[in-house]
Amino acid sequence: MNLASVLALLLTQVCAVGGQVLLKLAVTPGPPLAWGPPRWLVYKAAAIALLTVRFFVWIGLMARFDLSFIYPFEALEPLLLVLAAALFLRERMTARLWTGVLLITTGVIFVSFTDHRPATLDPVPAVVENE
Amino acid sequence: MAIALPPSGARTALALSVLLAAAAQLFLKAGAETLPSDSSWESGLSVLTALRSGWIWLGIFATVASLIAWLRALRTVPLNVAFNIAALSQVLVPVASWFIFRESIGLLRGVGIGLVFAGVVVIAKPLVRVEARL
Repeated sequence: MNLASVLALLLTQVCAVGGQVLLKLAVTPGPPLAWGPPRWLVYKAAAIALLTVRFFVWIGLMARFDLSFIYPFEALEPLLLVLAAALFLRERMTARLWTGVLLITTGVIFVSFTDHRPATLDPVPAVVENE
Repeated sequence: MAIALPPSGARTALALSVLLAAAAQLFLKAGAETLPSDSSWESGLSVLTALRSGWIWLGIFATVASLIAWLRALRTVPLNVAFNIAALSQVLVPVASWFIFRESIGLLRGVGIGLVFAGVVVIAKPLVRVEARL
């Protein structure tokens, strides 16, 4: 796993969390923006832009790694997200939520310790791998 | 401590959104298998050629459908609750990858996936309990 791949994984997480906060703002009533188009349109457009960037970077990652290896990294997002939700949306955290988030994050750390094996499409005979 | 309970329509939308998101990942992986795995990040071309794959378009369709259901759920469910329940796809996707793509799940990875599942259950329990009582 090289630096570009780590940065790409990080970018997918920042885009995902930012996109989610903007989506929640888009469906939540609030004061209109000072100028320009309606509030919900601005938030939704910005959210979709971030999620689209994430989408294409994610496809690039999937071409290089096993899905069961890279996908659980996304679960690091709960930590980022609950912080962002508290900061930007003023959502309250409960003991139950913290427990769940910590379990999810611990699970991800376990997964991240596992070895990355070459993608299954590599024409390596199964016999060689078992030795 | 109590999490304000969303109406059952929001819960259905949330469940639908999670299932569609997991399906989308599997469709996209099926499409990504057709890309060369050694291409460099500098050439974004390989990512664009992905759009020639029918699997990728199925993935895009499922992603959009998932997003619509997600927006319906977000109207009443707090983001920090909904998002963590959506972590269920962290369990669904690796298990399905094992079935479909023959990706290996070792002991450590299996335990990690199990912990993620436990976390989702802890967060989703108050929502499910009310559903079962109805």
